[in-house]
Amino acid sequence: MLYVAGVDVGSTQAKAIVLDERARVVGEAILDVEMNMSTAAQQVFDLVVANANLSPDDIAFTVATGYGRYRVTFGDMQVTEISCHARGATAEFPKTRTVLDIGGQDTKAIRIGDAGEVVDFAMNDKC
Amino acid sequence: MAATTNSTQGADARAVGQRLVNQWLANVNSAPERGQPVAYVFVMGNAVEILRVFGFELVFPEINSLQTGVRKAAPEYLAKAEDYGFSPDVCSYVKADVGLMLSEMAHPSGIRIPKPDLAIASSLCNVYIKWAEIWERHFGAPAFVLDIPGKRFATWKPIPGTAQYDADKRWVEGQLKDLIAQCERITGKKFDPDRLAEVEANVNEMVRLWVEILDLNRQRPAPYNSMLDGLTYIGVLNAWRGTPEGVAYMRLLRDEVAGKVARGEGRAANERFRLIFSGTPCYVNMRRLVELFETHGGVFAASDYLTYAAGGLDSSGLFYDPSRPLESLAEVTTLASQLGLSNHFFSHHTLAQQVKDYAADGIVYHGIKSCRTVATSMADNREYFTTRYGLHTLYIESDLIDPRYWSDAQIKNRVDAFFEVLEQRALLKGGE
Repeated sequence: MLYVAGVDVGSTQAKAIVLDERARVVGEAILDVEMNMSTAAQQVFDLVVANANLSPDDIAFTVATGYGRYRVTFGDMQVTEISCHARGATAEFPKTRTVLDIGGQDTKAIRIGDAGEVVDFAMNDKC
Repeated sequence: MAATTNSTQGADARAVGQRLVNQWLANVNSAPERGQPVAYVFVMGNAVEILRVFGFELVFPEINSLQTGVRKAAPEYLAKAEDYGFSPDVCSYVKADVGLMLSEMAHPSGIRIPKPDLAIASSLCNVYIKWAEIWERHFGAPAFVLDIPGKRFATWKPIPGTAQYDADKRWVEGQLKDLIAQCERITGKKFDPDRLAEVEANVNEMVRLWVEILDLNRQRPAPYNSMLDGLTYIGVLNAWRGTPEGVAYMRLLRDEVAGKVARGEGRAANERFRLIFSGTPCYVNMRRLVELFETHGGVFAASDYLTYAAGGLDSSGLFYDPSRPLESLAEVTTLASQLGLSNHFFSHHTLAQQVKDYAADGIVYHGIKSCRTVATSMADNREYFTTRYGLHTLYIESDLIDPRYWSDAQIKNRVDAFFEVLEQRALLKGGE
């Protein structure tokens, strides 16, 4: 079985999930981000892997997102939360056309097209 | 007489440009001891041609201020102005200049900026006139305000020979005559129309070469980045407008850029996306901003800034007729103003043309906290291009020179997301 992980290191919380090859969620975790984003990234990853009853070596690919995505030193790819939200929302709800992400630092509004692609986005700067 | 530079023979444009800038600063610094009168002028609407006739040394307070940002010295000057009582909301250029006045004109470039004998403001920026009033109060220098009529409505076009056009031109010409009279009083010299014609001939050549340089960036890959390289070009273009040195520099620059095009040399090692930049630069972090885009293979092939801030306002394609120097100056000043102002308030027409001319994949709008006038219409403009043209656009915000408004992580996030969309679009179109 192939497993992949997504790690979202935001300004206030770090979130992670593990999916199996059928895109089923087999593990999830959420932690508050304190002073060090790299530490938070590692901790939430370790937690989600444990919650999935797996080991880190079982994870074939990790995508990092959020403001702290470049602090996920073990990540294979960094993608902004804009693209991630569009992909995730349309995967769960194919008719999604707008996503509002009300984050700890800022809010993002994302317009999604018919093919699930990001058409436009806007962000404010601070809460 | 101010010192001038040596020939450009055998030099590269960057070196010559730097030499010219250094020379200009040295000339500014020594103007009082040489007895040369000094004029403070703005980049937009400044009648530099007339001032050259009377031998004024030109000081550009906007350039003084942007240099405080480039040299990372702005916070000190801004703090002085805000401690003095200027609101954080006031244009950071103005505050940096006030900070300079409160620092006895000691500039981070190492020179002391002389006080003006004359200041020229224009109606082309709503702050210019208030800024000139600050100089009047602080230096006791006379401020001359050029009132230049703008566009009356979005689709209005100035048509030579029509009553409105002629009235606008006469209005400006009358003011230029008043300016001449004032210059004669200050300098004790008589106006020489032949000298004005000579200066205008130099400006014509510089503008002709500038238009060529702008057009060369239509090539793929773009030989220069309009929002990094282009900013240094217009610095020289403004400071040496109407001079033989300015002409020589522009010729050298044009040859160099044309050479790059002939060799297929691009600014970016891997040009993936061509972009238009709309708005003013973030001088305090321009290199970093451009790097964020170039990392993704994005190059600013064009910008509206290089039209309206390139000396004499939007003079691309407008030339003087040296056989009627004063009338022609009034004509070009009026027309350039109306075209240039349209870049602010009706910019979608100019931008649409630039998108086509430069085969742009997207537009990046840079709103600045210092100036809501510049940011006016950017939101509507974005919507226009997104819905009407299906073009991808990005809005980012910082400031001209105030580093407090630069948020690296948030700007990078927006830029990264922007390119993710461009890449996705390329993929959907069947690109690489």
